Amino acid sequence: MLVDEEADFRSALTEHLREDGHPVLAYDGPAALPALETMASPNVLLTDYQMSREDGLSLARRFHEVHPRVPVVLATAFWTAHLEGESAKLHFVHLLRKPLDYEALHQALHRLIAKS
Amino acid sequence: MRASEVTGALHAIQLSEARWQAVFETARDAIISIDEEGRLTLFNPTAERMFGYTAEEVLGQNVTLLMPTPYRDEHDEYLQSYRESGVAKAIGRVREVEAKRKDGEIFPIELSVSEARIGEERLYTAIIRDTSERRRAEEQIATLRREAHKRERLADIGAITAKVVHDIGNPLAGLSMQAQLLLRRAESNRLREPANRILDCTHRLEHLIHGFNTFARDQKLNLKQIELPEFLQDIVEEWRPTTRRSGIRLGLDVDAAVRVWGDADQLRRVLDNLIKNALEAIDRGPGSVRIIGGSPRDETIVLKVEDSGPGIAPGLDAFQLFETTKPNGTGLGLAIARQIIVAHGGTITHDSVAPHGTIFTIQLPSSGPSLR
Repeated sequence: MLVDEEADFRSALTEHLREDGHPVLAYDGPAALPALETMASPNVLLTDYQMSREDGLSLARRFHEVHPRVPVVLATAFWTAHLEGESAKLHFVHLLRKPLDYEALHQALHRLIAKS
Repeated sequence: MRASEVTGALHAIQLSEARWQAVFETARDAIISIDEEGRLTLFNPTAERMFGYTAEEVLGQNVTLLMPTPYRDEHDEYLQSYRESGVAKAIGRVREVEAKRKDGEIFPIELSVSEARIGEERLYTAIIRDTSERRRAEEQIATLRREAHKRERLADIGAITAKVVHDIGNPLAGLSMQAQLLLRRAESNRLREPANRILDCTHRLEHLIHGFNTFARDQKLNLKQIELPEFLQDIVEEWRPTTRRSGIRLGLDVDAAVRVWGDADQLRRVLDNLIKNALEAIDRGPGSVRIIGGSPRDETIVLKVEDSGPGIAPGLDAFQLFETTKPNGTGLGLAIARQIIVAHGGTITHDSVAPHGTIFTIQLPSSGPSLR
């Protein structure tokens, strides 16, 4: 599952993943997610950190309560010590710096899914 | 005059004398008098404390004893010219000048001089206030103000940078991902080549934004005890292959068993940056870069990076944000380095050495920033 407000990023990453045979559900922000509580668990959640309605960290926390086994990848263009500290406290969150190299991301997603 | 009048007049004089004596003894300002020749005739207790002389030591001596040059050399001439022309420079005004204590210390004073004539005789009395405390306080206020201004400016730069990083970083992530998709689908080199060029551009922008991000991010130090010899050895070994390739000698000179509290990753970033700059300054060998680490005083650690490059142009503050002499430089590297060192409670400076070369010197409190 992919949540990112940047349409060009979202569409390109979705196509990359689909071409590698992974089904992708892409949303342009947390508000567009179908009811978190009732949806089926994805293999992994990949979300941007800075979004207009709700930040990725808070989304990750909410998501984890409902889907505790699913790892979360938080991607951000602006890296802060605060974000680093907060995500370090959440064992299920993995922080990545944007822009992302697709190959590196693909491998990281594989490792996370294999572990969970 | 009747006896009672004499007694009354005498009483008035005694009263006046007592009042004057009280003022003279207890005034918080120094009160001194000189005669026409400049000889001291009065020196109150505050003057004794201020100048460090007793009244006995100075009475009868020339007042220039209390003055540093150039006042000292001009005073006799000045007294004479006043006697002849009647044009006063000091009398009737409050002036800020300098005075000299017995131990040689020169200090700022506020001086007001009045003149009294008794018959043909002239008497000059000066009231002197030691303004060194006030000066110090003023200087301190000015320094604090400058620092506050600088902090504000840095905070503004930080906020703008954060905004830029975020607003450019996200579309850049999109651009980069699209280019990677294009590259993946490109079946001919005709398409692959421009896609690769786009990706190279995004990488350059990425690098720039990464620098901005590092500069703007909140400085949070992960403090640990660092063993300086091992720490520097690691860094030098990492750079060794690069320097060997370009024919540059890389030396390390570090005192044994020196420790410092610091954020190892951040300090390493500073040293990496300095070494990288040094190598770029030399460009191709022969040349040398030397890393020096030691603790000349118990509480201070000194790190130096010396290079044999062309040196930094005089008057250039290499730490200034966006200051760069390199064609592709961002002007962020040394600004970030300084930020990190300042966060550690230390200082970083650069000097040129004759005939050529540069030394960067870092001083750090060995106990870390918090215990200073």
